Amino acid sequence: MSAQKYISSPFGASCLACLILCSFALAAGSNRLMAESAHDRLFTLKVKPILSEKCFPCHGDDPEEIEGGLILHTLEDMLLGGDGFDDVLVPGDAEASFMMTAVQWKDPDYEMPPKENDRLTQEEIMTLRDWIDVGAPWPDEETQMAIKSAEADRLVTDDGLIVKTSGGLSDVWNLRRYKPENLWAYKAINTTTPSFSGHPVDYFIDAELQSKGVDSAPQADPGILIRRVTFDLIGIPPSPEEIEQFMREWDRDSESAYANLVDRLLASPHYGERQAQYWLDVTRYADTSGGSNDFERSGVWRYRDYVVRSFNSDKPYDRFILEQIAGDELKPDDAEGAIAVGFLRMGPWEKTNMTVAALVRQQFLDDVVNHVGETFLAQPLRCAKCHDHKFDPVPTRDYYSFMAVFEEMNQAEVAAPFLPGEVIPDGAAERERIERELNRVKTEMDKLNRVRFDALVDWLVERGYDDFQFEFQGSEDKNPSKVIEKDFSEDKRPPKNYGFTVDQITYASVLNDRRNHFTRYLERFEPVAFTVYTGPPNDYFSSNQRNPIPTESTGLDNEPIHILSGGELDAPGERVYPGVISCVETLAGHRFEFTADSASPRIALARWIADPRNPLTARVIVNRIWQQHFAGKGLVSTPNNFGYTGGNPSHPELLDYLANWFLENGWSLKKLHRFIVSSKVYRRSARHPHPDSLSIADPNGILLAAYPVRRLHAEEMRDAMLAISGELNPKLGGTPVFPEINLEAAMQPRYLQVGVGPAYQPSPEPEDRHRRSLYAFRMRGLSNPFFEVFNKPSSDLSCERRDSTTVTPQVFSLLNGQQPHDRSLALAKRLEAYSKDGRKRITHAYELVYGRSASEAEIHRALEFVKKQTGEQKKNPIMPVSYPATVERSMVHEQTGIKSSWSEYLDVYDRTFVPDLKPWDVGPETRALAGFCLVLFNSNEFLYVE
Amino acid sequence: MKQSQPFDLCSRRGFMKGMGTILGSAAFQSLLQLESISSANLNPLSAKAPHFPAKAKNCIFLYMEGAPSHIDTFDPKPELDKRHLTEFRKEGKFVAVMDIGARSLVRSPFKFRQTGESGIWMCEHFENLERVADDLCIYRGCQVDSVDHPTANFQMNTGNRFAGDPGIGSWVSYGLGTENEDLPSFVVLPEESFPQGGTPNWSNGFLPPAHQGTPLRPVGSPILDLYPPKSVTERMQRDSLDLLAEMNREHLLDHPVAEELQARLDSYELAFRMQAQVPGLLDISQENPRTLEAYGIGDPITDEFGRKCLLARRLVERGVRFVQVFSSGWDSHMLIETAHRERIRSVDKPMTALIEDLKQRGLLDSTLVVCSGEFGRSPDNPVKAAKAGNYGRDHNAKAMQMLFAGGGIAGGRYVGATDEIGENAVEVVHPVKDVHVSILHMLGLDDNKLTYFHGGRHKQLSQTGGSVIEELVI
Repeated sequence: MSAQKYISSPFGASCLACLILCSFALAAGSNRLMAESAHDRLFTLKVKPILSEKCFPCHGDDPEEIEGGLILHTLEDMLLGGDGFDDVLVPGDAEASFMMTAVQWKDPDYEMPPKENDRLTQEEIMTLRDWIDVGAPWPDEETQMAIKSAEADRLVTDDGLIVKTSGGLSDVWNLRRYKPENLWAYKAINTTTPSFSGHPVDYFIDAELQSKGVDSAPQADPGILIRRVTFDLIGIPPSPEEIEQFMREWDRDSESAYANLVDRLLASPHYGERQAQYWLDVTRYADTSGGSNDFERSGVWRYRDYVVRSFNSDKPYDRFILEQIAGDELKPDDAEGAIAVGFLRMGPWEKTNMTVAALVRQQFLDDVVNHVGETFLAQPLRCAKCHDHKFDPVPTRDYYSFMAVFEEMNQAEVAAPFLPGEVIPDGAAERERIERELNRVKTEMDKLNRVRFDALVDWLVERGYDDFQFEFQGSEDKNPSKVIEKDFSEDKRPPKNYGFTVDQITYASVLNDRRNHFTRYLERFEPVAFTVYTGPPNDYFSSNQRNPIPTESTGLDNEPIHILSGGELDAPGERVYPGVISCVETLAGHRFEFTADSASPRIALARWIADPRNPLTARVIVNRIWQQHFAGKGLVSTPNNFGYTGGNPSHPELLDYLANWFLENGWSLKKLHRFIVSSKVYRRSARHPHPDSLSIADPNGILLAAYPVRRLHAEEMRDAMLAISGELNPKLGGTPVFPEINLEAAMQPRYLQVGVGPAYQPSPEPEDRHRRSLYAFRMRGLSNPFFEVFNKPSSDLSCERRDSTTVTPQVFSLLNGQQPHDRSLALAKRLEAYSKDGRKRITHAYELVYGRSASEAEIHRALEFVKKQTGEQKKNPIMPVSYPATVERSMVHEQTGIKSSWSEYLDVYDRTFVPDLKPWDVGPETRALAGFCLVLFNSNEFLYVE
Repeated sequence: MKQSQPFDLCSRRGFMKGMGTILGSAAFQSLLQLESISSANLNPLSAKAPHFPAKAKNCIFLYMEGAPSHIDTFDPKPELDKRHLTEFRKEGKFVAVMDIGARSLVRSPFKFRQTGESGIWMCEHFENLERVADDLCIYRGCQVDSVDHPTANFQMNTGNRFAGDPGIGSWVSYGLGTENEDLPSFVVLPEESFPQGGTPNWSNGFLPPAHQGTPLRPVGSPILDLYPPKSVTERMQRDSLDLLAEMNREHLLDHPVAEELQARLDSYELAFRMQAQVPGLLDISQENPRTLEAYGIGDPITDEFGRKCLLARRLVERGVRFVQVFSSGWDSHMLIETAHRERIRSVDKPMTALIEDLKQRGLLDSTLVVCSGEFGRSPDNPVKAAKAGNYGRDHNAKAMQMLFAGGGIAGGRYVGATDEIGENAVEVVHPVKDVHVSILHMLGLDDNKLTYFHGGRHKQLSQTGGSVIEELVI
């Protein structure tokens, strides 16, 4: 019986083998010794690490903090038990040992270890059980040391392999064994391919389906296919003309029709926009800084356009990597390089008076390390910030070595001339507008300063201080609440805010924020790059002002990078130097040329990442592209995390095939897209002939027997509505625009340092507002509620995949929101212009919105609806609603504690705003037809791609 | 068991398709309704049992954004009176820019007195709160990790200094669900100007979106786009919804993601019901005039916070699990004498009324009331301001206070203490994560069990685990 029990555990098997071997070599009397030694090994190599990691922290490590009076450090302590328990351990009888009850969470009052994250695996529980059943041997320290040192020499055992790294903080970690299957991502890409005919994607996917006995769906109808591939590649729907042409070609030769379609889409400049959207999701792009100084980042829009241009020109991906990590150093005289490295600053970040400079510097470096790791390598390196990685062979030393690459790097906004390929902002009218608003702010500031000035003069005169000499200076650049006081000697200083009412105190702060906001806004028209540089710090102060590269010595040095114990800046350990993820070299079996003393560690890091022999890089991007085409289902389901806690690939051979193919094809992303969408797998129908047996065989749709359906992304919804209504302005690139958003959200006070920022006003001209969503000004502190509710990710965290959840507020946005109503009205107008015939209008609506013709029943139903709504519209005459020229806003100022209000002038609405078509501009029939269009925009058939 | 029918006819989707063609559309509709009822059982908001029995079932979190001064409210420091205007130094690498320079200790501009039978200290401007002094438990041992507002707000509200994690209300909603599935389980009553850091303060983070905090805006439409534009009558909207439902039902037939599509279909009906429910919820005209007066509604000083406190009670009464009420403007770096006085006056009466009202309705035992800012305030200020008498207090992460009432928590007591000048917590000192663990504990939830697997690990409100503050939860 007991022998069988041994065989059932992996350790037991090897231990038995050991016993057999030994019995040949040794005298019978030594067999017992060997068995004991096997038990000692079991304790030393298996049990002790579990106890150390999972039990000792609360039961022995800290004599001050012993939970439940139970110490587990020694066998004697363990046998003593804890408060009320003397049966924690019963050697030889696991079932009677309360320890086993606790670790299996069988007693709700004693679930150990108590954290879900620390819970023992089944294998660990079995190890403990075996150890107790064999009598709970606990060899002395010397024996343990001997066993450990012998074990360290055996790199590969049945328990896995020891991975050589730059070195962890403890021997226990260094000698940890990893299951080979959990290290797949670090191993070299497999370049051997089985022989097969047909498209490789089809081969690998179908092989898996066949092995599971699942059949696949037939090819999708051409009408479905063109809608699918057009949304996937350019993010807007095909026009009825494009569909018609495609259908004609399809009837002649479906293969060439489809190939031509894909070529046309990949050649479209909108391809780059679509790809950029995904890239900006991962990189967390926003136009503002975040935090309490959520001001515009000058020139950051040029990074967005750089990304679009790179995709459109099919820039090889390795170059794309090099430019974003070290473009400024690789191309010191080219603005493109300075723009590209804006990548390294995409996260939210601010430095203020309230923050500790050393800490925010550290936060920036932490962000850069994780950002680079996550984006290019699917390694969320933050997991190794406070300790050696709990699951992957990434020591905390690697984390800080990676950080040391960026030790000499600082943030700046620098002059960088506009490039030939860039959309150079003309924006004369916009600039004039902002300058006018800035002047208006300054005039208001002058008025307020005058109030204070006069009050202060009176105050001084009243007190008989007549030796002062100053003149009213106007606002210059001073906040009214700050000006003047400092011109007085301390003994003659009037009270804080003297001369101001409560409302004026607030208004002064509001004006100050407005001035900073418009000042930074104006920088978008200038040739500025949002970038980094290598050199001494510029003491980057705040995001409310532009920060240059220092031209002369600042007397400051970059802090050297140390391993930080527990991730705490006040606990620096060993000094470290530039390095990369060390296990990659060991596991991929290639010596990379990365040296810590490289003249430019950033270039060296970029080259290491973009090296075709880096096993992570190609796999990561190939997986990201794949998932775009299969409704967010990656071959690895966690595109930002290829470690143990991510997912293993569903089709590892396919992943490697694609990665290899991608490298052989010059890192070309366009070729990769074409390769994937040309497969039969991609062209399958979403409707499987046996959906129910399929849902049992493949509940998560991983096998791709049918095409996975997806909901449109938030931006696709908006862009598609604009395209369908005929309003979309397809212009590419340039400074950000301001589409209309929910008016109440737009007017809501948005906190900025001490005051609030100006109300959000849309771009005055419809053609600017109707640009693609990619170009909408993206503020961290104010999101478009429509986008937010439809799962557009925030710019705070990297988004590896869009969610599509269903929540009720979506209904309010899409059915009641002003934007869908405006699009519906524009579409109704378009339909009326298309034909005088009601039937034809309905048919065309179906063609535009769904990409198909309407059935007779559908036409009939729609006409009935429009007729009924027309009657209702006629009974409900409507009055024009005008836009506000001012808005009352309020806040509680920190220096008064009282809520005060002010009236804010809305210059765009008052002066230049050209509204979209509105219900009062049209008759009841048009409004009724618009009501029908709104239903179409709310319908599932529009919102889902299949 | 052997299937006598072709398999896909017995499945839900196959069944509906088959029945739909047989029974005609009326019967088919009622089947769909049945289906939506059965899918409601999977509603992520369905009420769930706590991990262990607890008195508190709901929580109202009064959030004083900007950080009230402990020294000038409930933690008087006579030592500061003695050392007023004496020099005070802060130095080193870990000092914020604002704390560098010539500084001196400053006394509280307010007088203090002991209140209630328990003798809780309160500053003079809490004129009403003394009536419930014996219900208050004042915790003085909390410490946080951040001295700037957005990151400190995020830490207090989500456990993480960086935006993106679920709010505490989202965690509680995730753990306990709601008693009223027609309303959100986590409601936020913000100021017109959202707190620093914005909506991530009440985000669902990685938890299912049903647990997101729903702000009921104090000005304008309480929920954005709750009602259609004026050009749309209710009749028109009803007809549109009917047509939409019909089209969506046709599209649903035999569709591969029928369940998701059905959920969208259902959400339109729920939205229509919410349009009808929200006005009643917000209509406080039915309340007793004495109640309105008690909350300070009608008085310009207290009206706004009073309305929110009353609304919080109405929400809890209707089964909403977690209500977070915001008051802003507590960041008194200067002129604390007037600024804090005004802030205290704006919340004193409403807070008192809330506690008394809950008690009178028998809801206080089951409702935990928490009141806190994002950190504490410093005992010192720049010398210039101190001398000029327009001083305030700066940020202090190492000493802050929190108030607890109701939810079965014993009142009329202090837990923990700060040093003699209020610079550091020195007794029962705990990081904010332990406060989070304790709040969950008061609601019957175990932070170590209330986890969600995301980004490769089981995440929890305390981030990496914390401990219950035993002195607090009695």
